[in-house]
Amino acid sequence: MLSMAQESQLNVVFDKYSGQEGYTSVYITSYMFELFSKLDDESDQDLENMTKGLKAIKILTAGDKLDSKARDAFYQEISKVVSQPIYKDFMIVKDGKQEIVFKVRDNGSKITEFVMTVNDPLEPVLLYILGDIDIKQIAKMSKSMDVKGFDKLQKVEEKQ
Amino acid sequence: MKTYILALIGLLLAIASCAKEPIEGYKKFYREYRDSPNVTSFKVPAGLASFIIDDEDKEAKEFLKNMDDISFLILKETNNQMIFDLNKNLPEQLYKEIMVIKDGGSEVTFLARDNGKTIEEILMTVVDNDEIVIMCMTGSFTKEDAKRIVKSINVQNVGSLN
Repeated sequence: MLSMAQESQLNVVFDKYSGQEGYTSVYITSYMFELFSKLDDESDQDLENMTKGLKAIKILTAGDKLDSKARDAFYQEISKVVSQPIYKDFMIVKDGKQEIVFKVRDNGSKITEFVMTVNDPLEPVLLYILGDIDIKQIAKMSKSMDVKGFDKLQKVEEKQ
Repeated sequence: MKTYILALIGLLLAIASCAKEPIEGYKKFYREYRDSPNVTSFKVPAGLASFIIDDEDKEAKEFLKNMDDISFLILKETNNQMIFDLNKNLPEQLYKEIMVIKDGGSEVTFLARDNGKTIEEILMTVVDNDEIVIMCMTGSFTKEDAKRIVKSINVQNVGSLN
């Protein structure tokens, strides 16, 4: 069982907004990744490597049913959480009016949390991945998911 | 000697009465509710489903190859008994959550049942107000099929799942 210190601080924000009107959340469980390694299919070793060690992927977006004030307040709240010193800057991408911030949290030897926030005035996004994380594999995985801003992760490959 | 035999019979009877019935899972729920009032149900064999899939949609065609059938159950004006029966027939030891999507008050959950080698059942439940839609696909699904589900996630259009 995870201690309070190890547990993601972002879970509080995720649980607060998940299921609320105007917000959309996606939670991919560890069972999905377990299936990738469990099922007999030698054709896709890459996928198994990509997802090995992952415990969860959580995505939260504030949509256009909310007014700009609520969307901004949502982004400020997630920014406040990820500005804590446990989250270290990894990469910042500016694309027009959008700003995408990538952060990581480690336990000294491994990355245990990978966070992406998208500051889009029309649709702010929070995405975080929990587990034993290999950044290069996350960059590869981003190609197979259609999530706003996730494509920017491919820049991680260039950074390595 | 007679006492021993009686004791042995008694023991065997006790073991037999303790042996659990095999859990049938969602199929039992489908069978029990498909003809109920306020319930719409239909089942399509994979062979028939392939006729309504666009020839250009290769991903869907591949998915159908491993599918036996797909069934839908639309429960309107749901009550506590229905929800209790549904949960009872989707025990955690058989069905595990793959993904949960919430869009406001609507909730879409993907569950899977595997046998260690392939996925035997994929269920999608959509809960919205007092209506529940359940889609169940049975077959021998592979890792590639699970990957197709992840690939189909489009956060910006999640609302359109309802």
